Amino acid sequence: MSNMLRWQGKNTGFELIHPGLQLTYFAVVLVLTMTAMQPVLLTISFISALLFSFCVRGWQTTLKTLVILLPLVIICAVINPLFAMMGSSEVVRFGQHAIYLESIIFGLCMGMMLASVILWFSCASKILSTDKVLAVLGGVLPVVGLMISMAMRLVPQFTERGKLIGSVAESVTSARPLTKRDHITSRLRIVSVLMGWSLEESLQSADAMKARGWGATNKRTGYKRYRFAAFDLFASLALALLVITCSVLAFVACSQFHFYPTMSTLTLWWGYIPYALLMLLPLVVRIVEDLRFKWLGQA
Amino acid sequence: MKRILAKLEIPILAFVPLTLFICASLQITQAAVLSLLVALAAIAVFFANFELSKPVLRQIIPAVVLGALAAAGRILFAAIPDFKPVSAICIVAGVVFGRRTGFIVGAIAALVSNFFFGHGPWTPWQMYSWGMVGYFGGVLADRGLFDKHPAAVYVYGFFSALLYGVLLTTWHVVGFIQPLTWQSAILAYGASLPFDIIHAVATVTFLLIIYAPWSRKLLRIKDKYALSGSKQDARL
Amino acid sequence: MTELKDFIHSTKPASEPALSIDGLCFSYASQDSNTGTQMAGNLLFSDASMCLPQGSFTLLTGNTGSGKTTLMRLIKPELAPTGYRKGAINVFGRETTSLSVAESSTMIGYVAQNPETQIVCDAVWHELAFGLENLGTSQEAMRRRVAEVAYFFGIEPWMHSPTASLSGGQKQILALASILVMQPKLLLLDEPTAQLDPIAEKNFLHALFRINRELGITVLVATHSPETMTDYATGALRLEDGKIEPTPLSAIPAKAGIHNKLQIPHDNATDSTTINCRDLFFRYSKEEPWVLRGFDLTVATSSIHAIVGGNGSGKSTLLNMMAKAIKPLRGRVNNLHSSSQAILPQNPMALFVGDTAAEELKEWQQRCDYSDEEIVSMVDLFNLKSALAKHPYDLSGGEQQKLALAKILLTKPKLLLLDEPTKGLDTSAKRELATTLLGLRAKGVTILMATHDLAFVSKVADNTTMIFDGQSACSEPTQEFFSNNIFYRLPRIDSTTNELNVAHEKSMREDESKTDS
Repeated sequence: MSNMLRWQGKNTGFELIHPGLQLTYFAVVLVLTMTAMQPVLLTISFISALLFSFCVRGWQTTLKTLVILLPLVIICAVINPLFAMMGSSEVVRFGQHAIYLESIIFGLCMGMMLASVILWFSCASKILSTDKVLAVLGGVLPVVGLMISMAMRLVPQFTERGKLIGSVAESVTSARPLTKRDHITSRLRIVSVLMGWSLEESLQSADAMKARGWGATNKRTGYKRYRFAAFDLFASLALALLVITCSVLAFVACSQFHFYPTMSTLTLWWGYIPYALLMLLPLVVRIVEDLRFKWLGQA
Repeated sequence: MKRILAKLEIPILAFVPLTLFICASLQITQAAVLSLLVALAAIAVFFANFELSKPVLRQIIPAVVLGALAAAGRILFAAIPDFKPVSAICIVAGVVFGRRTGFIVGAIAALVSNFFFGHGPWTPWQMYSWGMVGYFGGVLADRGLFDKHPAAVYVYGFFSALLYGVLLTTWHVVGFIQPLTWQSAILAYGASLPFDIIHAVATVTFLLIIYAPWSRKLLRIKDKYALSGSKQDARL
Repeated sequence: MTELKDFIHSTKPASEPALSIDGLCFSYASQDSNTGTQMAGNLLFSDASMCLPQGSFTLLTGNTGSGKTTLMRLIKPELAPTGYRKGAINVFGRETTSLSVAESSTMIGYVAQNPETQIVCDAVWHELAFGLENLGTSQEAMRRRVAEVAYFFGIEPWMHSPTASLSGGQKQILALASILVMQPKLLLLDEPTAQLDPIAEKNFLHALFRINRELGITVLVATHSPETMTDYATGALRLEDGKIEPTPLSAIPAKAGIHNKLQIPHDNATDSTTINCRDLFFRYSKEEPWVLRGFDLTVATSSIHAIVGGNGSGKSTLLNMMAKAIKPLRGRVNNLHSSSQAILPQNPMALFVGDTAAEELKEWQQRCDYSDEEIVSMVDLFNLKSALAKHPYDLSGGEQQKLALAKILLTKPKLLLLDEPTKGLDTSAKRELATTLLGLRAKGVTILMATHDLAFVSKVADNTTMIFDGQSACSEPTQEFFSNNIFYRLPRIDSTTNELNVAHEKSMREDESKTDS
């Protein structure tokens, strides 16, 4: 069941655009999040990621992730001032060692950045199902795309088999592992049996590929489930415009801001609005989609 | 295009750790993104190179199967942290099928298994690091080291797992600790050392068990794929 | 039946044969161990000839080792084995060796035995497109052909599923479909249903039948169980002593398998039970449905007990539970012999770790403390002498199974658990297996097997349990089981049903022609 979900991804408004564009969007968001070390921009990214995660991953899963992420943020906030003894506003002092507020805030920001990146990644893997990624990759590097597709098919098969080999060894009493050492060798044996079995079968797979015209032509084509339509072109232009604006704004914001020695004061600024728009884009699309179907249902 | 890419293979692979070093010494603030992009570029160049070399089935299939096996092994051994067969399998692949296959097996294993473990900014780094473990395995085997000194493969296994750990920790240190100081770097390496040691021990254990029989089995498969001819041909 | 065949032949005037083989001689190259030079081995075919008319559906029969697979592979140029070869193989008037890869894949389709290994890609849609991608087909043509074939086989509900999640039957249908997108005119199938359960086999054969009759594609099927296909076939060939001889379809025995009465009278005098369990509940995880919910089972000591049921009904799970490899969530398993048991997995590959069969038999020698003499006598018992030096994977399916059985019997189990023991075996191998099992029972071994091979069950099992919806639907002596069952039983293939089938097909054809006009 969970396997099926990982495979198909979840329906969000995202399906309306080409997977290549979906991939680009997440790549851009991740790069911006990782580069824009500025408290407001980071907070925008973190909140957007969190909201989107609630939306596509469900509140239970998101809360579970948060339980792991919050300690991470706190650890970053604690560890950074221990090593980076920089700043001007002293909080406490242990003899030679002083803890500064600036360095605590820097640690918090670093933690928040890591947390946002992880959240964005987990949202992306919900939206970008494996076959979308492979469709994009297959368009650029057909053979490599095919190899990854083949490996993706084999992994669940191999894990199933690994478990089977283990249970067979368990069920033959006289060969059943007894000591701890036996248990380890029995596990290692699983990998060996699995390897022999799988490689042997791979010969048959090679035959199946040859029988279906592998290498018939130098120009292998790729079946495109997704096409790049005029709408996608429009969407990419719009996205490009937004991304350029946001990058410039983020650059300005970051260059005007510094943590050390004294943290700059943060003020209200119109430049945060386009940035928030970019980060909240999937959520907005999702809400519009929901409303649209709601109205459809009523009509 | 093809030639340029082929010539780029070694420089770009070497450029990845170099970036880390430059970022660290110049205290570049955007080190995390910069080094990530360089690692991605290295992987992309490597794969593009492989694609353009028009690989045949006997090159593709063993790489896929071994990559998937390593990924499945990582999943099957997930219960024991850092005790995973991936590095050992990459090394065997590199030794038997050559450095390129070694790299591809490592990269595929990391990429595919992360579809099950969860992707993150670490994915390209794991792909690169495990790829390098297999790549060096192939290079050393090409130099005849493992033929002359059979024990060398286990020594290499131990250090390759440490290399893997060091690469990942360095990326973390350079990318996410700012400003970078000696103390914080040492703390980070110290914290990851126990895990790297487990990984190294696991790799040696796996190599002790699989290296000889798997090499034999893989050579048998290689024969079955009608891989004959000179050693040089077979490795390309 | 004959009328139908005449009808088909008359509608397709065969200008040239779909396949003709003239004076084929072939032998595998064997390497001289002393000089290292290649030399011809024994001739597998000597001056073999055959001819298939266009639109025919032909069965290729022959004993194990008669060269059915080799012949099929010789026809498909990409898979042709190397060796000494003489004679001509023509497909639609073209010599096969002169075909380019693209020509060959659009003329000759090849489907192999194991559905697991024929699937290349991870998504069903990608699998369907794979062959066309290889040929460099344009997007439009590709889209159209994939769509057509998906509709023909009813694949579209699972177009976007991962191939790993399909059942064996679905995988084999997909393998067939992904060959057909390339629009071959001749279809070669090597034991296509050997790995399928009876229901999946019927589905597959039906699909094959439609391809042949509706699309006019010539079909050649190599099989060791032709009796299930005689209703669909228009002709049969037999491979024997290096020659291909036509044989009449009527000569193929109607009923599957084991004719000899194997049922050695067995007095179930012992009242003791080996396995006794009540009220078992099990599921693999919280999200998944129950596999077992209130399952009861009693297995008498030194008897053969069969568990029958459909695919995914939990037979394998149950065997693992009886072996105490997994624990029930509720209930208890009492297994008298859990300290002396062995399991034969569905695929013997799961047991093999060595480089030769001999090594395989020695794997557990130290742990289980059996002597070399015991190995020798076991080898004699299973007639494995010639296999000892070979790699376990190079053995035939039947030999692999015998090796696996020998390997686990060396551990001297008192309880033997078998998971689908007849899968992929031909009739004679099944007969041998039955004899072995009955012999073991006579020695006091208790045997519990999970299978959907009802014919085999009816010949060897003392008691039969049908598992359904996680419970035991009924459990009784085998004879009673089969006489009380009305639907779930051996197919009654006799003259009356045959005639019924023909009548049914005829009426279907008439319906079709009506709708056409």
